[in-house]
Amino acid sequence: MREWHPSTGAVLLLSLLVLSAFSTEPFVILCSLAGGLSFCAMTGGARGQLKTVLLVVVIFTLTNPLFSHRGEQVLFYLNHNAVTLDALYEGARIGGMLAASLCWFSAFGRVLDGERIVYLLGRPFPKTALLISSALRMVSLAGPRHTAVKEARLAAGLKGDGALADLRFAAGNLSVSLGMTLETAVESGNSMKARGFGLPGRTSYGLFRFALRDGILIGGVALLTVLAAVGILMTYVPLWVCFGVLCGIPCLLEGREKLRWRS
Amino acid sequence: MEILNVRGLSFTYRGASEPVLQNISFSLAPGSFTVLMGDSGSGKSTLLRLIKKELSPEGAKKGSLSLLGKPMEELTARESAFAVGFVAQKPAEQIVTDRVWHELAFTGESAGMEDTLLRRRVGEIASYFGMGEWFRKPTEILSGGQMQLLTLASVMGAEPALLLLDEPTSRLDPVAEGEFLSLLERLNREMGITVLLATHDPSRVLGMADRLLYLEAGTLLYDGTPREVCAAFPEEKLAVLPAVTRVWHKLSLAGECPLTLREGRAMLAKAAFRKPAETVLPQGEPILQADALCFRFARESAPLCDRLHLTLHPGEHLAVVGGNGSGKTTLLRLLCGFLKPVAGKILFAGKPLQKYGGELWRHGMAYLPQEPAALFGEETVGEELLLYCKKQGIDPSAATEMAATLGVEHLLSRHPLDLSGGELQLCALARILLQEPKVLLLDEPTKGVDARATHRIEEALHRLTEKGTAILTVTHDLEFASRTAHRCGLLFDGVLSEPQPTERFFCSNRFYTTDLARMTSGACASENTLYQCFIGKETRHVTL
Repeated sequence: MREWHPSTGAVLLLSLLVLSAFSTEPFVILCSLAGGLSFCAMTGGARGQLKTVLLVVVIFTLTNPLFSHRGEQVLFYLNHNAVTLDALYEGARIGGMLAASLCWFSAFGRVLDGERIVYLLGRPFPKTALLISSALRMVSLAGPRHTAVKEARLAAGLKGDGALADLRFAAGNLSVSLGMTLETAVESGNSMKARGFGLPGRTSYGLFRFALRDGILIGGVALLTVLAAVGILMTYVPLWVCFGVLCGIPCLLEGREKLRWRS
Repeated sequence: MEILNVRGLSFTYRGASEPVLQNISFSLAPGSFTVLMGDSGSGKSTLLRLIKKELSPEGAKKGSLSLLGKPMEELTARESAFAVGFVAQKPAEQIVTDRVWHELAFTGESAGMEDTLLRRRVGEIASYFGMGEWFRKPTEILSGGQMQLLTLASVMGAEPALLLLDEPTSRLDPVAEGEFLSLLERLNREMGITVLLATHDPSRVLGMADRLLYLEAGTLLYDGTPREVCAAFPEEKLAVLPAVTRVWHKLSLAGECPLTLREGRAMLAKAAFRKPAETVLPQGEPILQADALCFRFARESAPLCDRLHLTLHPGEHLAVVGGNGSGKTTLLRLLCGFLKPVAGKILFAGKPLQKYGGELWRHGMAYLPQEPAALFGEETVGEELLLYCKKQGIDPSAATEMAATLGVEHLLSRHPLDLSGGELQLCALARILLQEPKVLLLDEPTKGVDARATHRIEEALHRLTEKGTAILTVTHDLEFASRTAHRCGLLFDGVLSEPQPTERFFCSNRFYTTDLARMTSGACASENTLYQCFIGKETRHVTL
């Protein structure tokens, strides 16, 4: 799905995530799990995802009867409490719901990497995006610098003996590397000013371009989501088909890309 | 019309009593390439920053500055931001975003270019600068040279008429320096962009320039074509000139003053040289030894040390040279015990390194890091030196004595971050020499340091080896290595080539060698040898 605009992927996967997280209908769960797991299989690493799904379902199935004792079909008694078939079933459904949501969450992470997320957050707030970008830059510089400072001061014999001296040494390292960071921040600020930062009418360059097909797909997804939500909330079974279709879309898009790029 | 016109410019920093610039006048013609020379503290940076309004320091200014025919004061913020591009010295600090594409688009974004134009401009620049391949990469993986190219490329986004560059290559290795300068030359030749470049190492730029300005203590001492100025340079200031030009002066050779290696080769084409004497190597029991050292950061990554061997004798200066990313710094970190080798052993004074339990500095190992600022946590240089004395129970007078030996006693009351690169390097050396090291490990001691300070570092190191201290330097400054080291080895692909006596090493190298070795086709590698061995006929008189 990386050939589509990040917002398309985000809308589609968030819809699926939210819908899956609000329904314990077996049909919805099964559709969701089928769609989510096949998508994970297509993007690699399905085995881990399958393990998580099974684990979550099994844990909830087995633990739910410990807390819930409702139901007619008593299987056996544990510490004078009834363990019912209904409670097991309910546990499986809750587990399934969570597992399905987890699948879509993982799919979200596979489609929207850091760069795409920053882009999405930054679209309406370009200044925030720039801030995030420069903060990430600062962070990536800070680690190696701190190591260098620590090693330099260690070799220079600035570390004493004992726990208190260790603490003082660590504080010294931090203060030196902070000082160096501030020094570089001044230079970075100058570099921004020198390149006209702060002048009115700033535009922003985006790596991704929104195409007509993205608009159409987002429209379709929105319509299906609304219909599916109505179907699920009102328990109007015929509309559940919409949810089934929605679950299939990620695989469809990914499958198309896979077909195009098969070697 | 002139791009830049400076008339009677004087400047005094706020709070300072002496002016940094006095009565400077010059103007730049469109499309010219001007080199601005001068030692650290001569006012180069101040002058450049006064021309770039956004970076102008606070203080009292006299005289006039006009840009594109308009007085500086009347320029709009937009004009001064985009008509003048600025590239500073330190690569990493000028990059402000985490992605190459974002950095590249930065100036265009500031200028408010609309989407289609911005896209096209960014695409054009990325193609012109050959950045297509790393366009989507994070900026943290770039080398220093790539970062400087990126800054230059970003600045070009707004089509500046004038480019100001403040020692842009002083922290790059020779290969990256060449790449940066040839792109700059293309911008100047092909697009007619006026260039004003400040540098203290002019050996690669004089051939490109049509004008040379030389600042000394805030006054414009020389102004003319590079050839005129270089030919007229007085004897006592020759150290700042490229080796080619210096040789012409010192040997009083006939013909025009040469500026480039090509001219230097022609100058010495018919010269004859005696065979240089062999370097006398210090002998004795090795103080530091590495045997079959192996290291890599991860299982899959390329080896930075691959069964590497190394021996260092007391009183010996060994230089390890190599390009960026060849693992020079990693080698020093292994020898300091900061990194654990995958295999192999390191012996220091006959004992394995691990036996010292992280207390190497107590037993005479000292390390000068690439960023010497890391050593200074106190308010002043003096306090830092005294802190160590107090901690180790050394007599405080040792600190002042050490500072005097290295000629930095006048810097003791200064804040470490206010010092120039060379001054800081010398102060850091003074600090770690208080440890009375038997082995001194130096990481790029001449990075960003001007000719005069380099000379003082060389003297200090020479005195140390005379007294029996062993020195291991990793550097890509080949001229420095050729002047100071006893032996040199090339680190490449995890292997250190068997270190050779310095003169023999550079004379037998073909590609990775000094300018002098290139000019003399491998007859002499360093200047002193050249003066001793020169027996050419074309001399008027020889001053040795």
